Amino acid sequence: MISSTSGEPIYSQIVGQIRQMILQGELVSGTPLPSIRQLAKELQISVITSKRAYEELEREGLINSVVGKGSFVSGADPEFIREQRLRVMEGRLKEVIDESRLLGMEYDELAEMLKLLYEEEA
Amino acid sequence: MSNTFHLIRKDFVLIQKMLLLFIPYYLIMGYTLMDQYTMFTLFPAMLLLVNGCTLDVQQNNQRFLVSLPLKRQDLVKAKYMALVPYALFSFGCTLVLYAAAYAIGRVDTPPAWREIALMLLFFFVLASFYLPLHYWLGQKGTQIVNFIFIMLIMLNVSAFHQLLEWFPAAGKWISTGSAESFLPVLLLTLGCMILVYSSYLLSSRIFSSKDI
Amino acid sequence: MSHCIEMRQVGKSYERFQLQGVNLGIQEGYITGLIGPNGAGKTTLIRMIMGMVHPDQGEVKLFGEAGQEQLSRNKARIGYVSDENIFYEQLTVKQMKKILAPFYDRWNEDTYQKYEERFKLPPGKKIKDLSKGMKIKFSLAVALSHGADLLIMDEPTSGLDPVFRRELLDLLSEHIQDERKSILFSTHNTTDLDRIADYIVFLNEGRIVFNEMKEVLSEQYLLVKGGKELLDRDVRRLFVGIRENAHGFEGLVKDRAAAQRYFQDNGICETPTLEEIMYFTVKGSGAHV
Repeated sequence: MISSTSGEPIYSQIVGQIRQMILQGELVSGTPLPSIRQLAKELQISVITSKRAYEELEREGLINSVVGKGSFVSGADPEFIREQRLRVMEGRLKEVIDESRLLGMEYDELAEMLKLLYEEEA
Repeated sequence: MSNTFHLIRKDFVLIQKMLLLFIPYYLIMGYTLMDQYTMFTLFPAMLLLVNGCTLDVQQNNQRFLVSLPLKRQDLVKAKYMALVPYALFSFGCTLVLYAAAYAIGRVDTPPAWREIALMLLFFFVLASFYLPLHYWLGQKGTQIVNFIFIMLIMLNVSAFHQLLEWFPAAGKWISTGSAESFLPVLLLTLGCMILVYSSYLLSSRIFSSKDI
Repeated sequence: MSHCIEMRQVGKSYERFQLQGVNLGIQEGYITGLIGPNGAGKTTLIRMIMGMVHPDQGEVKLFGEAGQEQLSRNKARIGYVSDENIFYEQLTVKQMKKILAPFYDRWNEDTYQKYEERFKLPPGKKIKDLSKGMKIKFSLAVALSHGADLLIMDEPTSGLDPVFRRELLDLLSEHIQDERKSILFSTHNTTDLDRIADYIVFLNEGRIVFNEMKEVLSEQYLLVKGGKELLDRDVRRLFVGIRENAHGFEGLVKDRAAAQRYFQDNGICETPTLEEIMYFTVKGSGAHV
């Protein structure tokens, strides 16, 4: 499901959804994905948007593109992918910690804030 | 070449409906003025030409023509090439008219071939003036040009005689068919061909630089 | 990447309007939308590409070739859908098809029949009796049946019902499944393009405002809404165009990053739609919308 009215860019919605499907095992390693142009047609989005989504997925190591053959879900196992994503998350959290230090926040305050936000989202 | 053929065919498809209306009208006109049937040689050809041109500019059809994978010269060339079938059609009409007149006894002389031939030549002369004007004035001017030309055709009896006065040799050729007056007529034909060709160059130049 | 259409320093003057210094490259393999308000010169630009209007200055290249001879040959590779009917109105759909088909070497009758069926085109009906939508469908069927590499469409969606608009977008996506095929289409209704266009060319008052990847546009421009107290002379200068009312303002900024830093806490920042980009740019240039 792609929404053009939600604030999130279309390409990142696609990345998010495909990533989800791979992590949850709905798309297994080696599954062929529609070509960039097919995907664009099916979702009624631009070719460049769909290309960008694939590029992003490739960078994350989730898919492999073979010239002339198309794109496939990569052989990386879900555990490894999860690891990768956790590392990305760690990086972001570090940024948050740095920011909180600049503002002179204590750990408890930060934890409280995180907790509040987490509950709010759920 | 095949493109020229298809363009001419297109003109005939467009004017075919007009032809059906035109034939009875022509016969009636012919019947009342049958003594001068040769004068009518010009009429069908001119009508075909004027209609073939007018139908191209009526809506935005010239844009359609220009959108085809053809050069502008090709479009102009086809219009000039179409003069030949127009003239042939006209010639056919005259023969029919003559045959009818002969059958009912209105005419007892053999067909005036030479007069008919000069009439057809005269058609090419008129067309040489008409086509550049058509391309130059386009949609807006066409109605005026058409009006003037229809008037000219109406007056063509006197125009034709005027022409014969300018070229006495041609008049002599018509009445006698003598060999010594044939050379000037040949020159006249040659002159006419040069005229048609220059007219084509002019039209093609006008149309090529035009915004459609 | 190669360009299927290239314009270099193209200009054309009319009594009350002129196109100036148009430099343009249309990418092969993608859909390019040509947007701009009415009277911006979109149709003139397209007619120049089609060789209907001759530029006063500059050069137009199709598939890398300039010149009359090449242009006329290359038109066989173009499917043109005009904003007005250019066919002979007095003819039937079938007669018209028969007239134009022989001029295209790559004409495919089966493909045509397929589209005739798909669009429910009545072969025996006169062109003048077709609705606007049907006329467009007919010219689209023709364009798609002669194996065109490049579709050039002038305002194809105006006068179409929403159902066929959607279908048209599908057809366009279908056309560029082959990555050597390209599409240029002009419209003043940008919602058609928000989704499927890869590149956007924005024309205003006879000049190209930008020729950009649509993806990039949404990262470049920012729409800011807020209270009037935020606006002073310096801040105003940031905006491409501003609309003010009694409650506040709404404006478009081109330097997204800078504006986001400045307004993030006291205004509302949004990604503008193409329509908003067009509206504020035109407004900012002082012309009517």
